[in-house]
Amino acid sequence: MRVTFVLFLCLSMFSNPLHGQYEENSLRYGLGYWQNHFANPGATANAKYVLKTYNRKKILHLKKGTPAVVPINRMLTGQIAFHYDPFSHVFLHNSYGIQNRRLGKKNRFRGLGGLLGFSKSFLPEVYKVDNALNVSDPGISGNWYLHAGYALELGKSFKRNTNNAFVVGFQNLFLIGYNSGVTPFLNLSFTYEFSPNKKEP
Amino acid sequence: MKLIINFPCVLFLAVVICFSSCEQDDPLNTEDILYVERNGAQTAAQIFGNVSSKNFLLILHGGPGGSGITYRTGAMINRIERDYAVVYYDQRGQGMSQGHLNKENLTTEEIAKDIDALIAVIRHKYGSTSQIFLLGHSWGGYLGSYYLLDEARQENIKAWIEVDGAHDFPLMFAEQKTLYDSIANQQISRGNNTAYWEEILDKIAEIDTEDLSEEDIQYLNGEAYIAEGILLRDDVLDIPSIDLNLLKYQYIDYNILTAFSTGQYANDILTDQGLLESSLTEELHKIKIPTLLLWGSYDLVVPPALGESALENLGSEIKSLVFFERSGHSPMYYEELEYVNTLKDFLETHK
Repeated sequence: MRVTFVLFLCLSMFSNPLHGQYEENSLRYGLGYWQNHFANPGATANAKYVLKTYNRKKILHLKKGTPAVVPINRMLTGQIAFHYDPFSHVFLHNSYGIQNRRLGKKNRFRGLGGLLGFSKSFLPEVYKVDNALNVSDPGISGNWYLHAGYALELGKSFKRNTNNAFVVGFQNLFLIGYNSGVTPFLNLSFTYEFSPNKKEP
Repeated sequence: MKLIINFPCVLFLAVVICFSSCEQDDPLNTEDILYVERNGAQTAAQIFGNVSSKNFLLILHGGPGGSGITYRTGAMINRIERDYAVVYYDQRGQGMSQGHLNKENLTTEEIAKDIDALIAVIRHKYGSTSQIFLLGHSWGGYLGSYYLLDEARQENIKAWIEVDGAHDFPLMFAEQKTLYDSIANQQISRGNNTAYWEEILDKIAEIDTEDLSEEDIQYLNGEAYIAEGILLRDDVLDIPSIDLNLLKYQYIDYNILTAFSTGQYANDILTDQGLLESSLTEELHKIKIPTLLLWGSYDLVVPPALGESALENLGSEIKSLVFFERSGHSPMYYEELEYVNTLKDFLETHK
């Protein structure tokens, strides 16, 4: 946990303020609301580091004779999020991954990426019982799980400041080793994304 | 950047608020969630109702792979929780229970040991004089019977309620065929969905209960729920009331996707351990505590003949069998009020 948290902080700190939005080596941050299984509320913070920017020609337009160029950003993502189930537990998720963000018209964009990371559950009021049925005082306990998953996002940058955007995200995480198998977690996020980079004149 | 720096503080505050809001102090209307940790699992128990009564109804859910809270109907809240505390328990590897489990620590005996641990925790938290009534539905009926075969464990339990319990799988499969046959002929004679029931008769005739294949078992169980739906439409069974409480607990308060997914794995592991060949009938005479058997007359999943067999074989001096004439496998939903009233009368008599 400590190592991944330090990695997350490092990712958050090493930004390159020389370039504008979506320039290579630039960094973007996101903060927002996170929801697990459409019911359990939480929060998320993420950082996205633009590894590479490239253009892809749209085949459909080529056929019509009007080739269109779609700018794509490949980003390294780091995310920390939590949600709590009011009845039972808190989950903390820490994920890293690669995401391709495809920029569209009218400042809109959509992204698709893969994630790997860790989840930690915190269970309240846990009584540990030994073989002789001695009961401990209640405490907090929980489990570590590895997770893998994918993320989809839709976003729109603001007109006046294209550095900032509103992003709706969907993540499907698969917690590995949860009880006796794998369990899916469906998560929705609504984040405000911003960049510390100053807009170039 | 300030927001990012403050994020851990916000997270910490949210966790504190969450944990501090999980418990309600009113002993007449308690809403507690606690976990019992032993041998690789933290099993979840949601406790609702009147804990000051010191009488706890501990519910063992069905499946394997079900979850406790699905039994919290409006009638349970209004008629039982007012006078008793009800423990909606998620067995290890199921519901909202968590842990790291495998074939070695996900067994019927381990779940039975979890029940011992849960009872110890209830008495630790709510007082050593707390009395436990055990109720098991379907697979929970098998589990409860298995648990009570140990006479030392019977000392922990005030009385036992088995609801459509699968304590004898070979008998269950044999009786499923007999009951399909009987209900199909009854419905054909009444002119209800004759094409469907004739098809059932044809398929059932091909099944040899002495040599059941996996497909046969899947058919007998899977078709039972479809047949219940047909009986419901033909007004043979009572229509379960749309219970807003149940919907809220199942779909809003509860991680139904997690519970369903994790329950499937638990079901596979437990059934792979020879569960479907297991019969407890020959040992039921060891159970001596007061027992109430509740059965749906049209239960094609665990036929009423198992209730009759349990009544005959139980060692209890006080035992009775009640049929719900317009119910299938889950009378707590089909005939909710009658079920809860019968249950409450029994609890009142034996508390």
